This record gives sequence, structure tokens and C-alpha cells, in this order.
Amino acid sequence: MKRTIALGAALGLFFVLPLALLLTRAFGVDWIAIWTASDNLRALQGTLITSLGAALFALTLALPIALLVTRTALPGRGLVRGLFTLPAALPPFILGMGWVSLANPKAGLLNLALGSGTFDIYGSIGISFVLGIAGLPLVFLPTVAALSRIDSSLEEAARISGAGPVRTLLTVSVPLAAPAALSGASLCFLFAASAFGVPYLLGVTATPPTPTLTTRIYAEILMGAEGLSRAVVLSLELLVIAAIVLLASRALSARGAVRLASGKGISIRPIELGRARWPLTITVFALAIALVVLPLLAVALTSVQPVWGQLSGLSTKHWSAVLANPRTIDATLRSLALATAAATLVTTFGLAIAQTKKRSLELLSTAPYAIPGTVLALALVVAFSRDVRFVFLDRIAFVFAVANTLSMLLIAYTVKHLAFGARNAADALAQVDTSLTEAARLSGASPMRAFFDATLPQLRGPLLAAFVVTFLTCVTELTLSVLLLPTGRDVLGTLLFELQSYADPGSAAVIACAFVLLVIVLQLTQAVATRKAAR
Amino acid sequence: MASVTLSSVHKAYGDTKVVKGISLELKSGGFLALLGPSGCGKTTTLRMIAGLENVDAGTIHIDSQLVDGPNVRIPPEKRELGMVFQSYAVWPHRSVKENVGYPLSLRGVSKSDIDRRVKEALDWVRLAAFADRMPSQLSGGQLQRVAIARALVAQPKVLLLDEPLSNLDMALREELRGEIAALRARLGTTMIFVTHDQHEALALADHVAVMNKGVIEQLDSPRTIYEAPATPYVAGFVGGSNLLEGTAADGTFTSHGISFVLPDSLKTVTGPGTLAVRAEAMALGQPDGTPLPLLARLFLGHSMEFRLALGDQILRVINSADEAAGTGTLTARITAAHFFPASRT
Repeated sequence: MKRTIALGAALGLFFVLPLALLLTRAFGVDWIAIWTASDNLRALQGTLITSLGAALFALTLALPIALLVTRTALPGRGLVRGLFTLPAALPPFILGMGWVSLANPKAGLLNLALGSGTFDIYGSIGISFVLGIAGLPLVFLPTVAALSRIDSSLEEAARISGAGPVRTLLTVSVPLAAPAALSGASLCFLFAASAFGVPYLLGVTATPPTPTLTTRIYAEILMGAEGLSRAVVLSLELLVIAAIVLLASRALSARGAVRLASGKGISIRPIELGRARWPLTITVFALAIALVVLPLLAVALTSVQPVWGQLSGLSTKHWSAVLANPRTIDATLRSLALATAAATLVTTFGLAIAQTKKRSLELLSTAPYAIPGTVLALALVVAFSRDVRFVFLDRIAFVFAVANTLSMLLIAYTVKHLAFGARNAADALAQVDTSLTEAARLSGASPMRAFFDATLPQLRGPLLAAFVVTFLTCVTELTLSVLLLPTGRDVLGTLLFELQSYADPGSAAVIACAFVLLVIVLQLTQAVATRKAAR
Repeated sequence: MASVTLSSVHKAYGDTKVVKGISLELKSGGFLALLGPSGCGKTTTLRMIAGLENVDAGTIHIDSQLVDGPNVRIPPEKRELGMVFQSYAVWPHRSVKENVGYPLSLRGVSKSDIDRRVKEALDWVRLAAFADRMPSQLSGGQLQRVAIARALVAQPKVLLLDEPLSNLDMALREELRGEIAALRARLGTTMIFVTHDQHEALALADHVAVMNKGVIEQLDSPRTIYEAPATPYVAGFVGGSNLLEGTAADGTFTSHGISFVLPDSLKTVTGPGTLAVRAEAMALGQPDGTPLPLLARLFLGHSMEFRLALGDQILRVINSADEAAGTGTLTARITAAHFFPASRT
């Protein structure tokens, strides 16, 4: 009970209170005037259009591919599944950089190859496209899960009733998986509406510029104290959108759960594709490679191009410059330390929250993840700075002088990603065999001892997964970092943002490449560890 | 209505042979039960008839049409069958009416005819009042009735039922069993019914195929299966018989070194073999019985069950009387049995 109160108080202090203070900031401000100002209306329009575009793009791509990998004998469907899940492990900003390298109207590799101006990644279409790829797993994974859980006799009954394989897919499988797919698509919408890095990268310098609410909020904060109240009001607008979408998503997934209640898990015999087999396989792999692998290769190529936008030999000058730069090393070490600390806190607190088995506390702990990062950062700033000042450094680095500690950033990382720890631990605890712990108690172990000897070993896999996901998300975190970082300090996310946005795409590409390598190494390590634990 | 013929059907999943050479012939309008424990291949056999699985070897005919065999694979949707699944398989996103009307809409039946025939099919299963409900508003028994109506609405050549009653509680099971029998009498559809419940099989079907490890041990009428089991396995599975291994000689049967007097019908058998004795076919407390240690007494309501030790084997005896209460030993005399000489088993 004491622990429940302590955890609740911590969440209250670092999450509920800041949000409440953010709300009070909106009192006495003419928010209707702010919401309806023409710039802000355009930002709202930009957010809605790019988010809807991303969600629809992800849905149109994810549903047919999910059907192909779960219901047909498509060759290499395991690999296809992996490739379309890959964006979940990559920061959207790096995917965005990849697409800039490919489809910048003048300097992009595709345009160098096909003629200048063939593709233009800037603007609302480009933002929708990149965020759609980045958010694809949000639709793809739940759709695959729903399709795998459909009781196979529902489809067999349709076959016996006289429906062919395709007709069965369209009249039984798709309607049954639709709630999960639509719920995923609305999460993709929320993800896109909350995104900051990609809309900044592809929207601000587009002609004409494509503002979104997040980039408007950022611009207002840059204006100083006067802009802050406008930023607050705009962030509340974003919060309203997030709440509506989240409610829609939850209603949809609840409906889907009812429909999938009695899955037996026997999989139906895969559909043979016949003559369509190779054309479909080639199309699916071409899509996966073009959308996911190609931008990563483009980032790698950019990191070894001596001059951006010119195919003039290879050079390691960016690599040596970046790796020798004390600023890079400094930022890297700081990011690694912060991400390790945040992942440890998330895992520990997540487990503690799950152990209280208090539904309300669990819900509260997952709420910050649904709040757009821009809004969360702004709330923390409002709550923890009595005197908000802005400092301009270089051309872009700016911070709040008062909330000027790394602890602030660590708190933000932890609060934002607490959901990973709490959800993983709760799911794992639900599956723990309590009789093992009880047997340890009866063998003479104290409650603490029994927890470490019998319960914790059963939780190792899910907790490790929570740690790795949090670590990878935090190590190049951008949105919170940009708004909360103390003066004169960098982390990898802000360094990447600064280098890419303003001066040096080559050096940014080096950092991005290093990060992608880190992702691969950590994911493989985790996969091996999980497999070992399963054995 | 159609006949169903299987000849030497084989099926394996990987290295596991599930069906090992099944042949059977079911006349048009017949009702066949495939009876056996889980893993005996009965469901696989039914799914091959449905077209949900394909045979590895052998052939399946529906009427004179070859539906599955070398180079012929008629998919399930072209076989014009109906099937009722254990899990009901009622589509949760369609109303009762839409579920039942689905097979008709695929056959291009006109809207007004669909309405009429759906209503008729729902009348058969006494669900006419539920036509507009969604499946989530129905009970298990009602869902299974929807599934039966859906399977019958398009007048299938054969109705396949895969353990349709085993998800229901006892009272509902008996009620639906009666309804299936009534529907069958009314429509005369050829039916194949998979079950692990011998009472269900014996009560409903006019032919029962007892399956074990991928083969049919015996295919006969329910009465013959019960009264004249062809193998010790059938006697054990269907009658719940005690199976005693031993030797018959001079009107006695010796198992585990203990001798029993054989009933008059078996006085002439000799040699090693298996004696199948129903739990009801033993008289207790008779002076000419064989004394055996009593392990346990269970009160079953209409009768008592006694567990007697025969060496390391346990004999089950069901008896209406409450003889020899309190004693540690009971005498048991076999009143009826089947003897299977060792060479046949």
C-alpha cells in the first residue's frame, strides 16, 4: 500500500501536476483567437492531412501484406514480416534522413539518377509517406496478430458454404481483422500527429512550407515568453486530437477482441498462389526493399559521399571528422548514460507498478506514452521553471535556463516510456506461475528471497525486452531532448537534428549509421538471449 | 443426398501417419458415426471428405464423382457439402439471418428466395425469432443451432458434423441430439458425424465406424458394435469392458494366475487370448465366484461401482445390489463375455 502511494505520488508530481499546470496556463488566454489564427489553422490542417495520409498509407500497405504473410504460401513470408516490422526499431527521423538523401529534389540520389526534380520528398505528401512507413508496424503487427488469432473454422465454414479462397478472405478474414487494423491505423494517426522530427525536416523548408501543430509549437517556444502561452494553447489542441483518436482506437480494439474471443490457434492451410506466386513475391520484396532498406542504404552512402548531392567518389572524411569530434563523443556518452539510466528506471518502476496490481496506477503509467512528446515536454517546462528564459546558442540550440539540468531530461524520458516497463511487466506477471514462488516460500525463502529466486527469473525475457526498447528509443530521442536539454549540452538526437537540419548531412549520416548498427547489434543480442531463455 | 465412398485413404502430417488406409461406403441417406478417442484420425478423415485436407493416397468419391485422389483435388467450396464445427464457427460479424443466408447468396439465389429459405431453415432449428440477433447475443446451444441451419440451408449433398455437441453442457447436448435425429428423419440428408462419445454415436447413427490409430477397427450397426465387438479394442472402447489377458481351458479362464469360471456360451473356447468383460456382466457375492480383494466402492446413484484387484490390474464392476458390504474380499462371477483368441488380436 505504501508503495502504491509512493508510485502514485511520483507519477502525480512528474506527470499529472505538470499537465494540470499546463491547463491552468490556458486560462485567461484567448485560445479561440489563437486556434483560429491563420498560421495555426494551417498547422492544424497540416497535422490532420499528414496524419490521415500516413494512417491511410500504412493501412493500404499493411492489410494486403498481412493477408499475404498469414494466409498464403508466399515464399519468404517470414522475412517479409521482419522487413515490414523493421521501422519499429528505427527512429523516424533517420528514415526521414534516408528519404531526403534519396528524394531531395536537387541532391537526392533518385533525382540524380532519374533527372532533377523527379521526386520531391518535401511537403505534406512526403511527410505522410515517411511517417506512414515509420508507423507501418503499428498497423501491420496488430493486423497480423488478429489474423493469426481468427478461429480457422470460421474460414473453413465459408469454404464449405461455397466461397473460394479469395472470397473467404474478403468476406470473413478481413471483416474479422478490420477492427484491429483500424485501431492500428488510428494509433498510426496519433503517432504521426505527435511526430516532430520528420515534419520539421520535411515541412519547414518545403515550398510552400507545410507547418504542423508540433512544428508550430516549437516555433512559438523559440519566440520566448510571449510565444509560450500560444504554445500552451496549441499543445492543448494537439492533446484534444490525441484524446479523440485514442478513444476511437480503444473502442475499435475492444470490438475486435470480442470477435476474436475463441481462437483455437490451428492455422488454416495456406492458399497456394499459383501463377501469381512470383509476381506477388517480387512486388512484396521490392516494396519492402524500396520503402525500408533503400533509405538506410542511402544514409550509408551519404555518410561516405565527400560532397552532398554529388556522386563523386567515396570518402571517409565525415566518419573521421565525426568520430574525432569531442562534441560527438561527448553527446554519445551523454546519450548512452541517459538511455541506460532511463531504461533502468523504466524497467524497475514498471515492474513495481505492475506488482501493485492496481489497474488505475497501470493506466496512469501508460498515459504519458499517448501524450505527444511536445506537449509532455512543455508541461514539464511549465511546471518546473519559475522563470522561463530562452537562450540562443549557435543558430539553433536553445534551452530553458531554469529547467536546466540533465535530471529533467532523464525524468522526461522515464515518464514518457514508463508504459514499456509497466505493460511488459504486467503481461509477464499475468503469465507467471505463482505456484513456483509459493513453493519457494514453503521451502523457507523470505518474500524478497522468493521473488528473486523464483519470480524474477520468469520475468527476465519481458523485462529485458522493455529495457532494450526503452534504451533504443531514448538513445536518439529527439522531441523531448530538443525542448528540455540544458544549455550547451548535446545528446545524439539533438546533434543529429542540428547537423541534418542546418549544415552537415554527411556527418548526420555517420551518426545515423552508427545508430542503425547499434539497433541491429542490440536486437540480435536480445533475440539470442530470448531464444536461450525459451529453451 | 449423396453417397460417400472412401478407398484406401492415407494421410500423414510430416512423419506422423494419421490415417492409414481407410475404406468405407456410406449409402445415400445413411448416417455414419466416426467414433474413437482423440488422435485416432476421425477428424482428419472428416476434413478430407470436406476437402479441408487432401489425401496422400487413395480416393474419395461423393456419389460417382471423384473429389479427391491422384491429380484430382476438388476444393471444399465446389463439393456442395454442409459442415457443423465443434466451435460453432458462426461468423461474429454477421447476424443470424446473414450467417444462414451466406451459402445461398454464394449460389446466386434470389433475395426473396434467400429470405424464404433462411426462415424455413431457422424454423427447423426453432430459431425463427432470433433471425436479426447478432451471434454475441446467443447462447452456445443457440449458436450451434445457427450453425446447423447454415449447414443445411443449401440442401448439401452430405452434412458433416465435427464433434458438434462436445462444447455444450449435458442437458443441452441431449436436447440437440434429439433435434439432430428429428432433422435427419425429416430431411433424409446423408450425414457423417465425428464423436468420441460412444452414447452419441450409438444413439444417433445407423452405422458406426470405431477408429483406432488411423484405421477402422469395426464398421457395423450400433447394435452389432455393442453386442458383438470385433476386436478387444472395440469391446474396451464401446462397452467400457474390462480386458483380461490370459488363457482359456476346460471352461475356465486364467489371468494373473487367478481362474474364473467361464459363462456357458464360452465353455468350449481354449488357448491364449483376451477376455472382454463388461462392468455390468459380473455377479458379485456368488458362492461359485472368484474371490478378489476389494479396493474401492463408488456410489453412482442408480448403482454401485466396485473396484477389484486382479494382480496389478483393476477390474471395474457395476452392480445394482449392495452385496457384501464391509468385507475386504468379494467374489466375482463372469455372467457374459467375449473371447478374442490371441491369433486374432
